[in-house]
Amino acid sequence: MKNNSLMDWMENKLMPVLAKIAQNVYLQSIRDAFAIFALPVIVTGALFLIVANPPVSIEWGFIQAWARAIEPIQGQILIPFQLTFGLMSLMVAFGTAYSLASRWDLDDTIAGIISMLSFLIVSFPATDITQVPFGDVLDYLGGQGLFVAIIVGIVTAWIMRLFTQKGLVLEMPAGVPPYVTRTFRSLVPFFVTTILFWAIEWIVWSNFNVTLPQLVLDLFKPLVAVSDSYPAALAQIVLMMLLWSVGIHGMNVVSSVAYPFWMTQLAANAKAAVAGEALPGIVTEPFFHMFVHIGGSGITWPLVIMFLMSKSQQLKNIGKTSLIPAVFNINEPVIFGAPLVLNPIMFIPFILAPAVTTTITYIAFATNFVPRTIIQPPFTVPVFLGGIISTGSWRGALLQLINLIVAAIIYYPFFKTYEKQLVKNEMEALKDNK
Amino acid sequence: MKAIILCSWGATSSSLAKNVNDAAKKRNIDLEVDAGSTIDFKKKASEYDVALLEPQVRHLKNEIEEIGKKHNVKVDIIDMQAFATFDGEKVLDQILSLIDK
Repeated sequence: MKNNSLMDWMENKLMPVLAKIAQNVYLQSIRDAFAIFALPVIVTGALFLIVANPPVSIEWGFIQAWARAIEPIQGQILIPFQLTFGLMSLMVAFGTAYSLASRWDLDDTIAGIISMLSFLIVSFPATDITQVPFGDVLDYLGGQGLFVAIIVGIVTAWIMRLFTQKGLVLEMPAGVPPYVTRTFRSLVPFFVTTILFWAIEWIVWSNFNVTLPQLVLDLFKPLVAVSDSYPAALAQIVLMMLLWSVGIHGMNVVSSVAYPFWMTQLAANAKAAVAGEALPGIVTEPFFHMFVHIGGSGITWPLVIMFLMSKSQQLKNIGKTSLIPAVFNINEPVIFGAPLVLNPIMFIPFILAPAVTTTITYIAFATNFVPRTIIQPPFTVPVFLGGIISTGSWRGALLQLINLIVAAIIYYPFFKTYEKQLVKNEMEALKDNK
Repeated sequence: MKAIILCSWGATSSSLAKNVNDAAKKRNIDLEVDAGSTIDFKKKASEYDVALLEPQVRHLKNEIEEIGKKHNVKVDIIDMQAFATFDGEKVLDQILSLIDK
């Protein structure tokens, strides 16, 4: 493969910059908070949401019977949903502080616990909290408190690091059992953090008569609205694919910034679905994982099929090893085996295909041709199944099919060009060996 | 001898680790290969002699190398083709040559 100047520029100039972003500890910790700590919680909750809200748009007798059967106990079925989606931010507060503390070699579990407590403190109004209905606070412990949860998590880990570095912790003499040492070491940061957030809660409440998550959400509202637009979705996908083109896990990097916005959108949709209202959000995590990244980042399912039938030995081999991972939307073998990384021919469709399917998906949701997403299935759920689960409608699967066909058409001419080049190389190699 | 293959979540690395383990068994080499994410590596680095990064996390090499240095773990990036075809033999060769270094 001949590297042209664009590829050289990407490898030498772009890659180091993008790698710097990807290595940022704060971004990594936010991403881990969502992907490791919040995700299992909301996937579990989503299960109960599906049971309580069967996809009644599908006119099957079995689904209609199911809807009738659960009607009287819908409230009870929704309890786990409300306490998982409803406490999503609490998990993120724990996860952010935990991941950051872990990267800074601090006591991560304690950091997570302090952060959770601090987040709870700022989420309650500074009044007699025994009089506050839990339901009033629940929204802010869920999807609407995500930004504050991240801030609290970062500040908590940051205070712990500051006190540890400055030696402002209670150290026990050697010989004291480790668990005792651990308790005492955490006491000072614990007190300081708690007092800090308690003071903030009090100040915010007495001045604005709202809690901190309410206040911050108002400040972030314009940003949340902008994040739900077509230009935002397109910018995210192009950045993701640029990162992948130089071999960096694009989804990991972009999602660390975008996750709070996607989740705010998704939580708003889930809440509206339960209330029977119109779904407000379009750009969510399943928007990308279920509809744009079918078969893996860059919608590579069609490529795997083309590879399997390819005349090039290299592509055929990659097709074989990629087939099973592709079923579960894992495509690193395709990306590094084809390779799509730093490949001047495949670079174009690798960005163009997902950009076009992002456009189609956005239009399909904006016009309500397909119901918007309410469920976030794990990204490994196979195509068609994922489309139906995330939207609760067969039209979700139809949209996936349309996207796959469009991506196949975009990839095909580039695949052919690249294949020709590889076959030529393989023939020459064969001749040389003889 | 113990090695670990690292990727972002531990998904693809487990398939590759299995193939390397099979290759080692076939050649009668005393080697155990685990799979994991770069996040877990920090906590259990001391258990390993070698850590290999899959290409999609190659930008974390410096970070992993630093941790590796503290625990005497040799760090390298897996060859792109060997990774993509889950070529256990080739990765095994890479691990062995790293240990010899």
